[in-house]
Amino acid sequence: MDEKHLIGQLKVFSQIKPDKTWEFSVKERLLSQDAAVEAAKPMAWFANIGSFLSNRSGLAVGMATFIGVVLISGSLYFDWFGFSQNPQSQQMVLSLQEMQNKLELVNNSLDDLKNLDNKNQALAMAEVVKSTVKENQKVAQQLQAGKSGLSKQALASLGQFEKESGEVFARTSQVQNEIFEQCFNDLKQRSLSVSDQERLKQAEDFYNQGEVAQAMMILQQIGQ
Amino acid sequence: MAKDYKKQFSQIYDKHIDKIYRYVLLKVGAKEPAEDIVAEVFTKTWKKFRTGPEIRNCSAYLYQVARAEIANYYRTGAKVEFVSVDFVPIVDKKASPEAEQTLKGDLENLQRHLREIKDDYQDVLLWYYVDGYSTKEIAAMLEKSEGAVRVMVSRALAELREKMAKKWPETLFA
Repeated sequence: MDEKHLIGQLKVFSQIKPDKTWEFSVKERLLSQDAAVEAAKPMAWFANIGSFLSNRSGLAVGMATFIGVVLISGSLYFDWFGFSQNPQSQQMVLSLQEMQNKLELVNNSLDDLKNLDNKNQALAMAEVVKSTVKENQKVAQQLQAGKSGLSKQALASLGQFEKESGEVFARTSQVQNEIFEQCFNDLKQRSLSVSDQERLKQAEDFYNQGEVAQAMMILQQIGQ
Repeated sequence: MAKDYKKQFSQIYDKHIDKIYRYVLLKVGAKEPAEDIVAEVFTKTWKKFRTGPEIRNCSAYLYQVARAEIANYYRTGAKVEFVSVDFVPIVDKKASPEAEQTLKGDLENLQRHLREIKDDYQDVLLWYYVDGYSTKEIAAMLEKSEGAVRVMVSRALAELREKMAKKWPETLFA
């Protein structure tokens, strides 16, 4: 075999490519693992969620459920990798429907966040919910766009899930904005030190620029 | 910061996934183990990317991890397999069934003999002819001079031809 022919044959191997669904699912799994770490960061603000709950025996059932769903079980994260490995699986479709039920539960509990005494904690909880549902919504959109290997039922479930995730994101953002406004109004009524007044102004500026996480961090420092 | 490095890693993934997959598949010969190995390669690289010191040469790092994972795979007792050439779409639609069969036979033959040359030579042939890396890029990955890489490519090709020429009389009558 001459050299030219041999090189030509070697180059044929360049046509080997991975399965696109698999390629996409590995990437999303890797990057969403990091979303779990990022979303969990505000949770570090709750020094002891156990004592928080036990000190508030009058806590509304809805709020307790909300806290359970979002913080303790972390169960708003969907197993996208498992779904994409086996998109035909009925179990996966059922899991997706279960997630939709949880979303509804969270949606119904959002108003209770506004009644929480500790506004910083309420803001952080809202942020965790927002980042989680946003990631889920993004992945659901991409899977629908890819469509490869998905049953009609799975596509329908994904569409519904994406829509509801979007609704929860919008609602949570609205509630978070209302809590921010409550926070700012409360703090303006108080006699704050000069440095705390500056922090309040900084927090408001960040909030107005849409830098929610930064605003939350500054608010946390007020009064310390 | 978090969004930046996610975006950066996403670009690295998109740039390398086909090449790393191809490299691993040609070395282990089977789709499912190749997928597991490649997923592990990117998982480890992602972890290093987020937590460790900066990776100077991502291509080199990915192949380094891939080689280690492939070695682990064989250490567990996995048998050497060859990639079914059904993984390779034959794009010449005008080719007759006989020509297609001949090409498939040649590719299987090529794969077997490629495995017989030393690992470094296999790697440079795959990188240069299959993945299209330049000698400069390969030199950066191997931390050698471009001249040294050109010599390696030339020797690797010569050795592969020699293996195929020697075995040909045997395979003719196999």
